[in-house]
Amino acid sequence: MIQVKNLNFSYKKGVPVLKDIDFSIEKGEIFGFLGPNGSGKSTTQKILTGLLKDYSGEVKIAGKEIRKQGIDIYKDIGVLFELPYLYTSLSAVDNLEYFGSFYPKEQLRDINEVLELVDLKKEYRRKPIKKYSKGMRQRASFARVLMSNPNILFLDEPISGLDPSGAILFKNIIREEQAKGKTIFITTHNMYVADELCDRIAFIIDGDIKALDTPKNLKNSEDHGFVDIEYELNGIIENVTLHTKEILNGFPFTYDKIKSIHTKELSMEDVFVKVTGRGLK
Amino acid sequence: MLKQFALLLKKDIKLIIRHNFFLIMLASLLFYSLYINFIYVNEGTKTTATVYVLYESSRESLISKDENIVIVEDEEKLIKALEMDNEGIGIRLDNSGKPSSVLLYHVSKKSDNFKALYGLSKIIDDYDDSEIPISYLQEGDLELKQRATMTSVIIFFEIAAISFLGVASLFFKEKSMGVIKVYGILPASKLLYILSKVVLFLSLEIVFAVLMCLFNIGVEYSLEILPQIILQVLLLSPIMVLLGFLFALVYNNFKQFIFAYTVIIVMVTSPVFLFVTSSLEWTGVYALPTYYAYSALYNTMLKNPYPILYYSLACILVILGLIITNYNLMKREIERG
Repeated sequence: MIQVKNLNFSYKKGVPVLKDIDFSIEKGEIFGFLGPNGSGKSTTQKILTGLLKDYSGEVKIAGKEIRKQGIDIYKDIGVLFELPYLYTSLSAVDNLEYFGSFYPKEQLRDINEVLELVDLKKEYRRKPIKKYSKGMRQRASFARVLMSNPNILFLDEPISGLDPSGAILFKNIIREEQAKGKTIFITTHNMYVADELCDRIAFIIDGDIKALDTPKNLKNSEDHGFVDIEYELNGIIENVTLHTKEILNGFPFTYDKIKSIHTKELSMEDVFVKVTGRGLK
Repeated sequence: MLKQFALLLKKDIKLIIRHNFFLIMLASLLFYSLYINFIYVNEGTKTTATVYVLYESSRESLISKDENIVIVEDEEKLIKALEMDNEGIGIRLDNSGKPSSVLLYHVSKKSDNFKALYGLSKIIDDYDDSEIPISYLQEGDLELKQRATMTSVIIFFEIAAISFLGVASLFFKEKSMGVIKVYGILPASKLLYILSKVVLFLSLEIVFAVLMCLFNIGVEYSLEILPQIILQVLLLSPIMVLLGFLFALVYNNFKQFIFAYTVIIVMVTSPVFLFVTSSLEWTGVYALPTYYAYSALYNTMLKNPYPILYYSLACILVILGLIITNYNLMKREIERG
């Protein structure tokens, strides 16, 4: 669905923001772009959504070069911005009616259906957005994206500003969209979102993709060999993390009883730090 | 395309209603009309008029130290001076140095008496104002001219200041809400987004100009000049709306914008009124584009001839240039997001 080859981009001459990026996204795949602020995530998304055209290389959406596409391409694309950009003096229903009216009628989903889907409280739906909480605004914003029923969704930090139940709801909606065959591109610096939702993840640092694989493979690729040990000494439970090499000749600590030994699992952030040498913050 | 344009226009109308822009326009229409009808026409020129004095007994040129008093040599020169300066006051002095008559263009009885008294008090220290011998040059003309002049000033100011400010405040609202970024990914033309604002403010300005004319210079005179006045608004309003939009795109916030607004309104627009409507001379005014824009409106209002074809062509070129510039700036604004 999306092919990117030798993508280079710079805002200023001689200061590259993206360096020879290559990746492709299959139809129905959730693809995560994981990187810290300033790594080139947003720039990549802007190029993929046709907002930046002065790039070199190849960027194809559904087989067609994005910079050669007219505005009709946006009938197939839905973009959720990190911040909920809506007319604050209008209600959620008014906003959805207005933005929806730019799409063909047969493509649109029912406004109440999508507002129900994002669980926006009924009593607020006709109130101005300025009266909404941050989470409610994000729900209304996601409803705007879903309403046009796009085939490709670009989601920038999709669960930012949501409470835990909202985050779970959004993740479920994203999975449902995937199940319908939608292609989803997520840019985030939240490793849990990337780990939980994405079929594949690309680590991007300084405009360069340092690793690209499934979350499982990324985590397994790093053989770190650490174990978590829980033991009892004088009736007190203690925990320690050691490398396997350190316990080859027995446990290097005093204990009464070993209660458990587990392989220490790497988090996506651990993998990111190991691969890129940088943190996500 | 037409449907998209209608949607954008409907949204802009909704926004300006919610932000009380209509109320501001209505209030200014009411305020300015009251001003013209009850204040300006009666008292507007009472302290600035020049006094032209003719000594009936002497044919020699006399010199006055007061720059508001001009001594004229003969009757012909007195009439000519008043024809050039419709707001001036002519005074004939007899052999004894007493005023035999005061010559004026008629505005209203109250204003005429005041002007005559003002003129006489300039040349006679303790004039007994019980009898003011006023003679009128052309009855009725000056009041209409005054009304037309002030109406042209207000229409021009409304377009230059209110449209300019209105479109910027509307755009800054949308910018602060972030919705400009949404337009970047909508199947909607950015050009139509700009044009909807131009058409909205243009329509409002046409309505404003028509009502101002009808309320202040009368139905009969208005009907004669309205098509040309509407043409003037059609040429001027898009320029000011697009300029307001351009500055709103260039500046990041309303505070920065207000600086540009002050420069344009206070320094570029306001002085023009003085130099077009009076006999004052300042060559620097010819460097201001607003001078030509206001002159065109003023001359239309007073039925004076002016080179409309060249002016219209220049305006159309400026409008096209501003549309292209704004379109590119808007794309840059969306990219920056």
